[in-house]
Amino acid sequence: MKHLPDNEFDQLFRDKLTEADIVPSADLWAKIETRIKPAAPKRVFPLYWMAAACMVLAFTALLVFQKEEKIQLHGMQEQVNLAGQVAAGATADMSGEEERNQTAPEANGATVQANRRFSAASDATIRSGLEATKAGRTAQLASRSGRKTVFATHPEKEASAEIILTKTTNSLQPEEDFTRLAIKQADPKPIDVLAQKAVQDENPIVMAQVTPPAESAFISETASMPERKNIRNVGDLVNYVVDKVDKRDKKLLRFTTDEDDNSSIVGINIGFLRLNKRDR
Amino acid sequence: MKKTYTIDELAEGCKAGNRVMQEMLYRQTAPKMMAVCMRYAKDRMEAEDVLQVAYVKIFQKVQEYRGQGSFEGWMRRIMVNTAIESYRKNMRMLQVVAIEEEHTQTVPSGSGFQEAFSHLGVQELMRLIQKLADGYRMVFNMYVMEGYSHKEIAETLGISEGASKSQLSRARAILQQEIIKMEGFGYETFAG
Repeated sequence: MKHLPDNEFDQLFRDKLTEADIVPSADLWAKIETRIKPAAPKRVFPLYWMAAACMVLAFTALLVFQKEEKIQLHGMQEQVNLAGQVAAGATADMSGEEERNQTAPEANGATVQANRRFSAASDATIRSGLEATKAGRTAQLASRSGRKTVFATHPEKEASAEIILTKTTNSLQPEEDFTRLAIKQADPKPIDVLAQKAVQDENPIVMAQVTPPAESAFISETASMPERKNIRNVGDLVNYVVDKVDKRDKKLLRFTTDEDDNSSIVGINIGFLRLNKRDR
Repeated sequence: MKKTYTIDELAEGCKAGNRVMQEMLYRQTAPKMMAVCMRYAKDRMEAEDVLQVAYVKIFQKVQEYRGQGSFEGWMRRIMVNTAIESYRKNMRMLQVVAIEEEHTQTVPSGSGFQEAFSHLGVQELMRLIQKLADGYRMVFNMYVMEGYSHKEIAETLGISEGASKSQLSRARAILQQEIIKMEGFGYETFAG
């Protein structure tokens, strides 16, 4: 009896089974279809959208945060400075008026002139212009009503004097002439002269004694703030660390620090994304 | 009239993610692929599970097909790999040693066996293969049908080359015996 060789045996199976067809269950395609459907969008969607959302969020947060701080600090400083100057002008006008027996028309003229001189300067901001207008208005209205109001002329108290003046005249109608007046910040000299003269000539009756305002204290504090060096904020700290780690010309992160010790980002370099605002 | 596409055209459609083309590819190739899965599986249900997983893989990995060899051959390889993976996951190797079948050899002559074999249909042949112990079936399929070497089989299944060889010869012997048994009556009367 002859044994069938293995390779022939194998060939019999191959011949019969290689081209065999067996139809699977009818519902199998539906099962496959449900399994291939969600695969494609599931993977792509969160990756790209999350990345985009993170970038947008980070930038918005950065911008909003920085802007808020800057506006606050600059605004307060400017406003208080201006208030002091305007008050000086107003007090000078009032003193001049007192000298001319309270009802002299020249006093009115002097006020206008003084205010006009202020307005000649064009470098003041809109806000300071408005402040000036208010103060000018205040002075004029006071002179018109002929009240015998004289204020303390101690230089450090002028700011608060102005505030009280503004309060007393808030309810009165504004004068159209002075709606567009602006104050020249740098050169308040003529008023100073006028004020000095008034103080020397007359011995005014002091009616209002006011405590030094918080604003002037604030100014002196900020003005005399000592210069700190090296690492003053988070931005400096990040710069320091990045300098140690990143030896490239354009650093991974670069911050700059302004006069108010606020740091803001000026440079990013993460390979495909490079941002450089300006060099300071 | 429904337009017919070649398998390569369908493959291109699948690469583009065309759902209609995917279904057409499935309809056209599923019976052949099912036959592959049936050889490796214990029963029809298991075969359909493997078929399903393999088709999902095909549609997900179709981009990786670079046109080397026929697309049908590529699909067939995915079927076989999926079946092997499924077998390894189920850790059926443990059963291989346990099964020891009675082996009363009544070896027929070459021509007699071929005669008996020719009477068998695909379904019956499939059933015979599925009845083999899992390890025997794997080795038999991989060596005889897919053309793997014993070395490759040993590496893939995590067994020794010797075990692969012995399992193959045991599988052959069992199949022969079973075929003779099925055709036994006719053969014996024929042989005298």
